[in-house]
Amino acid sequence: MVALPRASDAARSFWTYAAVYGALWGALEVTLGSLLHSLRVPFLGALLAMAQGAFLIAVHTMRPKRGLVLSVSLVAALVKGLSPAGAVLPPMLAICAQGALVELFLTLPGRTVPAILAGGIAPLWAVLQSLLMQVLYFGGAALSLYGRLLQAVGRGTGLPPDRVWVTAALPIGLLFLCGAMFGLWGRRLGERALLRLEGEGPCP
Amino acid sequence: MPVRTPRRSTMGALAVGLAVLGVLILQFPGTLALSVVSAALALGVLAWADRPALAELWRPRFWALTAAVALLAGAILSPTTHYLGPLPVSVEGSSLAAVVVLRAVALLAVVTLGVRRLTEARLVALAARLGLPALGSAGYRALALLPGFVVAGRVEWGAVRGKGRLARIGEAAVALLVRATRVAEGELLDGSDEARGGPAPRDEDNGAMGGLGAARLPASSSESP
Repeated sequence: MVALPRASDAARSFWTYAAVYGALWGALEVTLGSLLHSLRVPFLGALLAMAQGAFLIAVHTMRPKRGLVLSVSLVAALVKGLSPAGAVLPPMLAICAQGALVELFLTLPGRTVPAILAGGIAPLWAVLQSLLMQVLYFGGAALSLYGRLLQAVGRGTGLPPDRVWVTAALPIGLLFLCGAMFGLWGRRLGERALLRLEGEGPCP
Repeated sequence: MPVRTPRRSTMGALAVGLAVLGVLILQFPGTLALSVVSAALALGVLAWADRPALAELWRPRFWALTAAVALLAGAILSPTTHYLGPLPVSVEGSSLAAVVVLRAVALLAVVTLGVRRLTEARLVALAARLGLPALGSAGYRALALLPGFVVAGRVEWGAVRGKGRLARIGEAAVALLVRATRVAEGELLDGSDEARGGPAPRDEDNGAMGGLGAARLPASSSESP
């Protein structure tokens, strides 16, 4: 194992936790994530994003160090990048971006609201990234296709043309709500883990 | 014939990076002419920078099938502009299909190049260049811990019984978070011992958990009070 460079105790502690939690999330991405990707599970990107949000919020609850959530995500992305399974660049980008967004929202004051916002934003990035990748692959035609789909749904539901955005807002809102629930769950997991650690006492 | 390795000079890397950026930018207008240029540029870069990677892309049957399906679907399903004998075809649809196929060629070439260059040493060097040498080392450390966490995940999942699926996931997650925290604490303690001239971590401490410090932990942290 390569030793961390000699640094201050605080920096060494910070990066040790980043490495260990990053390895934990990386293990899940490399095993379960890759398996589910190969099984073509629908909405997997959003589901993994919600789970990552919950995990990062749990980590933040246990160790509320500024920058740790982002560092854990970067380490997990490195681990994912070196895994042999399939395409790794889009998941790496997603892990980093979602980590940055969760980190950003967790800097807000309070405990519950940041967890809700950070959890909710993670799956929205997954959807946005998927859309961007489709634009990259298929050009602007992909966007106009979604526009037509929304219009068709609007016609089907009897919405006036200027209210078509409601048909897009509904799934986005639902995703945010699911992510927010995952965020609150992550906070609860972090609190439970912290309680158990305190019950066990210091590392033997 | 000598084996060619990927080019490594700074100027070469810069040229490759600029060319890749050009390939990506050329995707956006979505015209056939620019897609041809983009695919040619991507294949040219691959041929210049990493010839074995180009050989990896040489799958005639795959590309022939992809092109045939895309072109036929585009030609037949889009609004008819011409007749090829009795068969109604669309020039516009064929053109769009060709753009999609060329885009696939270009992007696959770029991704192949990227993945082949993504080695541990390069990632560490990249992190160091970005002013984050600790990130590269943390990545290495995480890689070393990875197999242990895969095993630990199975152990914790197997240790939680008699509950609903969601509660079981939560219980396993808590147990893994506790285990990870203990691993980090253990590594920090080991580091402090080493700094004070104490004993270095022993190989047997890593045990069957692949570096997760199983010797310091109960078999399952969910068994703890």
